[in-house]
Formats: sequence, structure tokens, C-alpha cells
Amino acid sequence: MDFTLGDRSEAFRVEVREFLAEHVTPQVLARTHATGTVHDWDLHRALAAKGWLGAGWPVEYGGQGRDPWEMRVFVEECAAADAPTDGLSMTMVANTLRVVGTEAQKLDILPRVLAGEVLISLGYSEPGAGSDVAAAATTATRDGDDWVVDGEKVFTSMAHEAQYVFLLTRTNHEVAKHRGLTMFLVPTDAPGLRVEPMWTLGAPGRTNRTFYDGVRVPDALRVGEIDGGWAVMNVALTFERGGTMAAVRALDATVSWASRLRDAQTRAPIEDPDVRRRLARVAIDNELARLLSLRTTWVAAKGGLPGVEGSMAKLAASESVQRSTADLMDLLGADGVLDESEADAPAGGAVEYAWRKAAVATLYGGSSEIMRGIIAERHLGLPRTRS
Amino acid sequence: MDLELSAAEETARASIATLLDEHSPVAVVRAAEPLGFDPVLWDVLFVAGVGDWGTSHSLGLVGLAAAMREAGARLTPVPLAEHWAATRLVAAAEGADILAADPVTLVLTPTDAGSDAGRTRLVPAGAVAPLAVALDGNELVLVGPPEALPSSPHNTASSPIADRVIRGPEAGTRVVLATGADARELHANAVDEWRVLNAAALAGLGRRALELAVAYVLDRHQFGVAIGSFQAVQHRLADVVTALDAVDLLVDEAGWAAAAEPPRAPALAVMAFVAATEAARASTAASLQLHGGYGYTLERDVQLYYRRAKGWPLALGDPAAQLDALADRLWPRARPVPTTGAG
Repeated sequence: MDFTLGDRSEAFRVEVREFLAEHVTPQVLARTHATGTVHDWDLHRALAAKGWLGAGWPVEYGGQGRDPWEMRVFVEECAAADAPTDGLSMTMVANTLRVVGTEAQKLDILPRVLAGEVLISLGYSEPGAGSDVAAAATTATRDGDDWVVDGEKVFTSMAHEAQYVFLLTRTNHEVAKHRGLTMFLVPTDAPGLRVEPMWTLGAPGRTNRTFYDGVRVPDALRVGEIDGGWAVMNVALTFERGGTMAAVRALDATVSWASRLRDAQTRAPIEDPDVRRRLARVAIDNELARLLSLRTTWVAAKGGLPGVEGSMAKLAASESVQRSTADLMDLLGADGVLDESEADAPAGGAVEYAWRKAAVATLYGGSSEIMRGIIAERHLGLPRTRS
Repeated sequence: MDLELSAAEETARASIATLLDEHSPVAVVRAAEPLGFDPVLWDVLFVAGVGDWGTSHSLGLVGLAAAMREAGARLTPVPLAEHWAATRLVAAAEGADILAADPVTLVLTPTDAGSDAGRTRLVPAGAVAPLAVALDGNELVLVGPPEALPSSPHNTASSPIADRVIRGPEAGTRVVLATGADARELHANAVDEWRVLNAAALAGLGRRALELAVAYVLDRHQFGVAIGSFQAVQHRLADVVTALDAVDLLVDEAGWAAAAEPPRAPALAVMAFVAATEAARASTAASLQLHGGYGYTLERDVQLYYRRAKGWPLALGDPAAQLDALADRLWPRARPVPTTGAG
């Protein structure tokens, strides 16, 4: 047994932490919280200059070839700094292109992604196709060398900043739903494509609806085979790393808050046995979530595909971050409702912010209900209930 | 990071699993009730060398925890956790292994030499272990055997708990192993090891209770289908297995830290104990519920697991108080230094 992440990873951690301390300034954080766009182009280009947009990519594709442990440390530090990395996380799609894209697509797009010039938004969900994503109804119809796209997507996060949408479309109505799907890279400046904001409770504060009205896409921007979109999506999913973190920042913020005496108090909240028990419970849940996530990295580092392990890590972290932030906010008492715009918000409003953000954790990247179904079927061997 | 057992640890785990499959089937567990101790099984394990594993240099806490998982899964009616924690403590204090063919136990709660009679309530394995290690005021002592072992009160978990006297003529021979701060530190460390070993036993117990539930919901048909095809059933079991997997990792981390990262070990030991308690109770409760009315009957095995998941952790008192202990380790408070004899 060994629960350390290795000297190389820890050295990288120091480097990442120093970089983030310099670039993730209070101004950057204030701006991302105010706009709801969890992305900052200056930070993104600075990451590109370090070579970190492709930190985990193979060297032959312009990456740094860092191992899963270094990449994990990178994600941990970004989360600890609350760094606005929604743009960074989109390199996942580019990773998919590396595997299934054409040579022309790779030559055209991958260097621009690594240079921090191009973002690719995910266009999977639709008003009628959420967890059942293979039910997508947005159509792509062949017309000469082009395809014509019509339909609507929801939760197209970052589409208002991105250069492309990685779009799941229906190209065949005659076959089973999984077999009639095709993926495209649709330029966001294409005529007929419209982006509308959807405002949310937390972070990101903004996602989008995108509308496609006779949008022409050249066949050269098709990714994978015609009607082979499901296979492409499955490649993309393998690059989706569980980015859900437990309530680490919120616990730290609450402990700091609880350790100080306030007006008219004779003892700090952390002297209160009830407060101590509740903080201790959050610490346990955080450690359990961290270990399940570490196991996912361990499986990946050994060359495996952490399918069920990833589902368990995601389920545990997202459920616990909701429980924990909710209880920590209660601990703050009446002042707990004050948000970070208030100068006297307890813990700087960090707990209230984390609580709002946590509401989406059990939804994105596969809802808790979907995760439980996967665990029940693939880990416990119980009968399949969905088709 | 490496989440696998070493070759020596895996050999030990596999060998005790084989031994227990043969000698500790559920019929033996039932026959050993209500005392919860099978002396024949103890002798089998002792002859196989299992009694000495606590002081084996090749195992350590990770290997012992792996073995405890196997014992916990089978509700094995012998006090391995107490014996290993106690013999490790004696070896750490004396620099020598204890020679005992019978179980040795660890008195978890320190006694106060100034104000009590040296009697401790409900010592785990107190009814079956002739020798006991205890922190009596300022002294870490090995006492016993008493003239007669006390009898065990009937209890939820069918555990061989009993009140023990660790001072005076009733207690038997008394050897002082350490004194002062050394004594307190050694004892606290042994209680933490006991926490990790019991967390492992509870993790194994919880895993087996889940397996019983999965087998049952696949077999049991209602409304024309296996009840395991209902999402209400599936989702509850998915939560149970996720919690159990997390606890397994935490138990391993706590065992690893005892040797590799001592500053983190005390907090991790308590975390593992609390998390294992909760996961085992959630698993047995789900298993009982999903067995339907049969789960409430004594003829089904799930009741054996349900009772022990409740009873084992209470050896350290109200589990909520474990959160106090954890908080004190994570966020230490300035507190008065205990005076001599305060324990």
C-alpha cells in the first residue's frame, strides 16, 4: 500500500500552486463570479504559454506527456484555487479529436486548442434528451458536400466564448436510436446558429441554449463515421475525468470562520461541541470522496478504464458536497445567507457560494440516478432497467 | 500510490480466508451464541500461527486489517482484533513478544488509579481473555489471569464482553509495562490500532451483508420480476456498495499511515472507525429491509449481521463521541495538562 502521489507529482503541485497564486487574482475571481463565465482568456493563454493546456497529451501531439498523477494534482490545485477552468476542461473534446479526428482536423484544430485560441463547447443535451442523450432530435441532413443542421441544444456551456460546438445530431431515423447519431464540429459563427444565455443558481452562473436554423456544416467537420456518433461520444466520455470535488474549500473557510471570536462572543464557535462534531463529519466525508477519486486515478494510471470506479467517485463526491455545504452554511447561522457581495458575509461568502454551486454537482456529467443505475448493473450485477 | 496488498499481506489474507471458510461457517457462529467465542476455533487459528500475527514483522496494520476483513465477513467468534492490538502493545512496550496460548485483550478505557476500584465496564473479550493490557492511571499494565473469568452479560451482538478488575487480589498477576507519558502514548496508539482493526471487521461484515442482499433480490420475485430489477432497490444498494468501497480505502489508508505517516494516523484511525460503523449499519439495515419480513426472523442470517453492526462499535461508547475525538485530533484545543494519575 502507498497513499502518496509521488515526488514528481508533489513537485508539480508546487509549480502549479505558484502559477495559480500569481494568475488567479481576486480580480479574476470577482469577474468570473460576477459574469457567471468560469473562464478567463488571459489565464487561459497563460496556461497555454506554460504548455499546460496539453499537460496530459502525448508529446507527439504537442503535449507534455504528464502522467495521471500529475494531472490529478493539477486538477486538485485548480479546484483549491477556485481557478476558472471551464475552458481548460474543454480540451477533453480536443483529446477526442486526437483519437477519432481526420488528419486535416487534427492539423487545423489541435494546435489552436493548445495555443489557447480555440474552445470547443459540448452540444449533447436537448430539451427532450438529457440523461437519455441518445434520444437527440437535432437533425443533420446531407446536402452535397455539406450537412444542414436544424434543432435546439440546452446546457451548451461556454458556447458564448467557444469557436466550435461539438454537436450530437441525428442523421438516421430508420435505426435504433444509438445507431443513427453523428458528431460534428460546428463553428459558432456559422449563419443560423444563435446562442442565448440560461442563467443558473451558482457556478457556472451562465450556460446557454443554442439554436440551429439551417446551419450549413461542411462534411470535413464531421467527426467519426456517419451514424457513428455514439462511438465518438464514448471516446469523449473516457476523457471526462471526475472533476467533482468534496467540500474542501468550504470546510477550510468554515473552520477559519469558527476559529475567530466575534462581537459579544465569549468563545469561538469551534469551541462548541456541536460545531466540532459537524465539522468532523464533513472532514470524514471529504476524505472518503478523495479516496474514491484517487482510486479512479490509480486505475487509469495502471492503464485501465475506471468506469464503475468513476461512477462511484462521482456519486460519492457530488452527494457529499451537497450535504456538507448545506450543513456548513447552517453552522454559520443567520449570517449564512449573506453572499460574497456583502463585505461582512461569514467566511467571505465562500460557503454560500459553494452551497449554490453544489446543487448542480449531482446533475452534470451523469446524474446521481444514472450513476446508481450504472453501479447497480455493472458492479452488483442487478438487472438492467433502461434501454 | 499503490492500493494492492504486498505478497506477504495477501498470503496472510488468503490463508485466513481459507481457514475460516473451513472452520468458521455460519453454523459455528450460531453455535457459539450467546457467548460469541468458540475455543476450538481459537485453538485451530492459534495452531496455524494466526495468534502471533500481531507481532509479525511482515504484516503490520495493513495486513492485519486485511485479515480482519475476512474475519468480520464471517462474524468469526474469536477476539482477533483485541488480541492483535494487545500483543502489539506488549511488544512495543517490552520489546518482546508475549507468550500466550489464550486470547489477550485490551482494556479500551483508561482507569483512574485514584478514584475507582480498578473495575472496568464491559471490556471486549473480557469474558474469554485471561490476560488483559490496561492503562491504570499512570501505568500501562499486563494483568491476569484472574481466579475465574467473569461471565458475559447477554448482549445485542453476542460479544464476549465482561467487566474486568485490573487491580487488587482479584486481578491476578500485574506487570507494569510502562509509566507516565510513555504509558499513555502506547495505550492511545493501541486503541487507535484497535479502531482500525474493528473498522476492517465492520467493513467485512458490511460487505457480506450486502452480498446476502444482492443474492436475495436476484432470487426473490414479486409482481412477476426479480425485486432486484426495481430502481428503489438498486439505488439503495448502489449507495451501500459505494460507501463500503470508500470505507475499504479509508481503512487501508489508516493502516498504511500508522507506519508511513504517523502524524496523520490518529485522525485517520478515528475516521475509519466512524465511517466503517456507519457503512456497516447502513448495509445491514438495507439488507434486512430488502429481505422483507424474512429479514426480521432468526432463521435468516442477516439478523446475525444486523445485531453485530450495532453492537461492535458500542465497545467504545456512543459513536457520536468519536466525532469529538476526531475534532480534537484535527483541531486541537488548548487544554489543561492532566495531573499525575488523571489518565
